[in-house]
Amino acid sequence: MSLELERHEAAHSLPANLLEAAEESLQKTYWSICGDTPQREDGKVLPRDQFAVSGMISFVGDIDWAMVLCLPRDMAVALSERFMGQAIDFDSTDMNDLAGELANIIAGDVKARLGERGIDVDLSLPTVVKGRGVEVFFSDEVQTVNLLFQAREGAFVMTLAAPTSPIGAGQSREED
Amino acid sequence: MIKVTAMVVDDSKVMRNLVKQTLKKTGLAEFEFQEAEDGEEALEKFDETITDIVFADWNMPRMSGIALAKEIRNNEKNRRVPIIMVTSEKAMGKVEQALDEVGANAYVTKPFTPDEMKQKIEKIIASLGNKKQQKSDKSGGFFKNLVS
Repeated sequence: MSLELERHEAAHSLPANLLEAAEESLQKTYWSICGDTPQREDGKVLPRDQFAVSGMISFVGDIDWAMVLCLPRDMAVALSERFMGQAIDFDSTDMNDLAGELANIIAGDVKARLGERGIDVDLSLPTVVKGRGVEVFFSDEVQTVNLLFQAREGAFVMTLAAPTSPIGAGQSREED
Repeated sequence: MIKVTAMVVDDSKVMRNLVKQTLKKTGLAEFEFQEAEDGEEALEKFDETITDIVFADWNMPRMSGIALAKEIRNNEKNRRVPIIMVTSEKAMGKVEQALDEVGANAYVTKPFTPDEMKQKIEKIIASLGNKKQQKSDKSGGFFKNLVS
């Protein structure tokens, strides 16, 4: 099976409402900051061996899942200019804050969108990792999908991770 | 263009800059900014300068946005300064309650666009204008000029 096909099938095995909410939130957030809507480019992947900063948020509730927003160095610096009014150094703590805040804004919006779909979740505080070739590993019981987006500032990836048997809307956790 | 001094209160430098950038993009005024990392620092700066409008984050260390709003409303000198709470969707219910309790004028939820921010400010201006028609208004600075 090709990598592209594997990714396509993984995307469709995650709850559709989760995927929709996450994509809508990312695009709205990006639009509000940059005036540009990043487009999904399925089938493309980012080079692994590069510097990047990632903001991670966990969600618990009707669906337990996690979101990782990975910004490659050049893209993150270009985005910082839009976000802050001036480019900031990739190695600075401000860049960590930017990745964390961006993940937090998107996550807050996702929570609201899931709420509109009858799914209640709470958020963790954002965690930020930065380095070269950094990958986030989830357990075998978790399925992940990497959504690559292309914006004027460059390409970046949003990874969604959810259990293989996620709890759906309208199901209480006691029903497990 | 009218000059407006806005105080942006947030423990995140990144978010303070985002609010500042967004305000500049509204084109409503020539903004000058004061910044504070929390409510306590904001109150200290309040005593030193004239502030036309406050943008306060909901969640901050030492003194939260809601506590800051209460302090501003309890201070005779600054009690009429418009306050816009900046928050995420996850805290929206609490913010709506706070608007009623302490008299914050409006709130914006992240992510926000320049247009959304502009609408909030224009709504405040309209509201102050209505109040002025009802009774003698004692608000100061930019907003007093706008509704005069």
